[in-house]
Amino acid sequence: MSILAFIGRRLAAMVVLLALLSLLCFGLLGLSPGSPEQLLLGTRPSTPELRATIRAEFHLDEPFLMQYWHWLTDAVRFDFGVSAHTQQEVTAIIGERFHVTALLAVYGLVVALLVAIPAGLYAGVKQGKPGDQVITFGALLAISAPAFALSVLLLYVFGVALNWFPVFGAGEGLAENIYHLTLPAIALAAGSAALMIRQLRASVLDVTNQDFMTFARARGLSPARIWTVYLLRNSCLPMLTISGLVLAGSLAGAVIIEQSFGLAGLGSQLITSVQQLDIPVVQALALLTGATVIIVNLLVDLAYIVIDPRVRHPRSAA
Amino acid sequence: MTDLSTAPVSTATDLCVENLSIGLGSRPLVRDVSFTIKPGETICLVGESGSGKSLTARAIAGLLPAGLSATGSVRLDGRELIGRPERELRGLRGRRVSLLMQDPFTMLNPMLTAGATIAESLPRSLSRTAKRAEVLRRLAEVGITDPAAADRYPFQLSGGMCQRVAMAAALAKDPDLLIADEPTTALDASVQSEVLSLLMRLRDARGMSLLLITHDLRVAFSTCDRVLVMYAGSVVEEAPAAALAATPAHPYSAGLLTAMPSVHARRAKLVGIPGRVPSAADVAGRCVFEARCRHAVEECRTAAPPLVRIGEGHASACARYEDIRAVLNVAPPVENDTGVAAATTHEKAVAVVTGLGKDYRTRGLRKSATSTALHEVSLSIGAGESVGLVGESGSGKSTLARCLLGLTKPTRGTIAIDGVVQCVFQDPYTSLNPSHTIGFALREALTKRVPGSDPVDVRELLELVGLPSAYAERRPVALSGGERQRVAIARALAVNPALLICDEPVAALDVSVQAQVLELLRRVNRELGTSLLFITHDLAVVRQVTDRLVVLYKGRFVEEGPTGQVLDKPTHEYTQMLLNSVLFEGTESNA
Repeated sequence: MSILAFIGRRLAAMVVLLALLSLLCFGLLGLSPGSPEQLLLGTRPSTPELRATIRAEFHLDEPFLMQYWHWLTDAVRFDFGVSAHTQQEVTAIIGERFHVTALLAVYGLVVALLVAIPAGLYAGVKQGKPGDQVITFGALLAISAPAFALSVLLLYVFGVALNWFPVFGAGEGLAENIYHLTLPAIALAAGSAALMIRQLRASVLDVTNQDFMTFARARGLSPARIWTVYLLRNSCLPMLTISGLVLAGSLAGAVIIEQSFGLAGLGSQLITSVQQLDIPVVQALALLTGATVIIVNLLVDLAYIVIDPRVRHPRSAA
Repeated sequence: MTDLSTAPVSTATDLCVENLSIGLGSRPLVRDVSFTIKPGETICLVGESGSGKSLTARAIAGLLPAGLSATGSVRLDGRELIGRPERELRGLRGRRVSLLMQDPFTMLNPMLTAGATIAESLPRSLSRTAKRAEVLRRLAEVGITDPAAADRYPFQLSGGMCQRVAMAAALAKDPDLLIADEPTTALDASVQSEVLSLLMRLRDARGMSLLLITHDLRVAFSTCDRVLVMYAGSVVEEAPAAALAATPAHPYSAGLLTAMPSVHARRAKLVGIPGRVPSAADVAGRCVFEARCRHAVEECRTAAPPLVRIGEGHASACARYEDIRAVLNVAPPVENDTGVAAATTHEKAVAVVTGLGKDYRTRGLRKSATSTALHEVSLSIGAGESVGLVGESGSGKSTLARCLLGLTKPTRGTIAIDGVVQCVFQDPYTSLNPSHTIGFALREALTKRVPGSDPVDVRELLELVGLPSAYAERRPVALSGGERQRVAIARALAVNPALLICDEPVAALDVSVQAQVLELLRRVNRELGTSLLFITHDLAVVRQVTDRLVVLYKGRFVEEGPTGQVLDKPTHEYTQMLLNSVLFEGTESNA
């Protein structure tokens, strides 16, 4: 019961946050320079008929909150209107790009975790040994390497010189998507993997000195069990938080990598739309990324409940 | 008793340790330790912090911390363990030799339930239901009969419960030898004796050998066949438990016995061992105890005396044993604390507590709940009086102290205080700011000195607590635990308080140091006339320092009276239970 209540409270908080976020997103229209109808006209010729249509369509003659209400009721049905620039459905523009970006973000996270967990564990256990030094140095390099430089390097080595991977676009179908997104995912994962390795190494150092590690060895438990149930489970909790941040960050923040690999993703769309003052698209993108961050954080909190019994069971139960 | 008929009959093991030395690089930490444990025998390694007793235990299990290496020989049934690869040692650990550690809260994996911790050491071939049944049987063996406990996590269990679960886990593979490293030190007094007697019962029922590591001579005397006293990395005396209690044959052992406070009598003067424990590296080629020994002569400094047999199973590493044996075994004088002195009425009260109560609200995932730490308690502390407050963890004794110090607001009741209240805390390592010199800390405290008191300076303060004035220049890191606690006392005295609250001031100190700090507090009370509120769980300690005793149980005073009287003739069953859990004191036989 207590956990359901906790989830209920978190969901309620999430709804409030989303409402606030949507209000801010909608407010973008009013806050932008120029009159709303001017903005929504975009590049179209300014005829009185068209302006009247826009005023009617966006309820511009009604009070602000009513405008917001109309926009919101459409937005929850994933109807964000049409782009002021291309007259395309906003949902259509975003939908395709969201697919690429989400796949890239998840792929990048998986690659980062696959590299960071063994490397971080190993570095922590072999503290000060050559293996640790190599991993720590590599992580430092990965953190300091600019994303575009790494992208170009990967493209040149694996795309051009070795010709293992395509150098442009996301391809069609899931299998081809994954093939096309491998290099971008690696480029995206480099920074976050480095961050995770450093974090995991630090928590492993802390956990290896705990009494329960010695006690586990004293009872003759197998190394496999000690590494997973004892070392990994006790040191992986900070990784959850980082994973959430990384995932949310890659949705809107992978612009450089999208550009380098010629991917039509959300990040590049956001930049273009902001430059074009294409307010309907910007509103939708801001709401989408904001909502993703909130949902991912909720999932991270739920994962904590699943993984850490100390969160699940309050101390007072003793 | 639990049913043990299905447990495999253990073929108890012979452990033979010969010239075991442990070092960090070329720096020795433990030197030439030799002993044997016969099947079913219990051996105790006794020593203070830094004696190398825990390292010796770790080395036997092949679990030395990284960087340390062991030389010499540890043979289990004739098989050499030193130098054996980790893979082979793993097969022996748990099955032949198992290790139980000190802190029940950090020893268990917080991610696993009690049941899972035990189950992971059981054979994999067992089915789910058979494993569950076996887990419950193992829990019952350590006295946990509630099956629900198997599904609890360590943080949901009490310290005593955790230690029992850890014991069941350590014994899950039915080892022939259990090494228990201070298994009861972190527990409350009453739980301590329960867990210790459980350990003894398990040893007897399983016929296993036990190597018990402790700093507490009482634990050693009440459990062991033979005791090895360790000091600065070397064994200084080996003796049957009874012989050590009656006729210690090394000045260090004798000093420990003298320093050990008694619950049955108040010593006229508490004598500790002056100085501090040297590191094993600094005492190479000489008697390890020579620097602190009042019997030391030139020959003690020129060669390390070997462990020489002086009686049946009794050996001492004292070169002058024959000369000094007569003076080693002198019982310290006691003073009468049951009569008039304690009953003196104090005209003026420094602190009057009336109807004090404190509730705490707990919040978690569940609904917030209120728990009462302290019910209505009333207490008056007279000027110059020394009052002991005894209770176990959760009894509310620290809450009362915090209320008196104004660190927390009482929910009910009033506190009237005449003068300044100061406090000495348990942990001398965290109560001093490491970046300030001792002199700075004391000068800072002196600026808050009660107006109108006689002026004192840092040097006088240090002198008062028995530290040389040169210590003013030092930082806390250069001081031992006992010295830090003296500084903490000096700092508290700097403001000239009317009442000094001591919250477990010696619980973190070694026995030999404990006595000196207790003696200092006694002097503060008797010579400076500062009132003491002495909070502790240790009945022997409280007898040495206080005139009046208050017993706190679940937030209520259950017994109150002159300390000697309460401890000799307790009326409340809780006090009686506390007294019954005090272990056998070796000094009784020669007191």
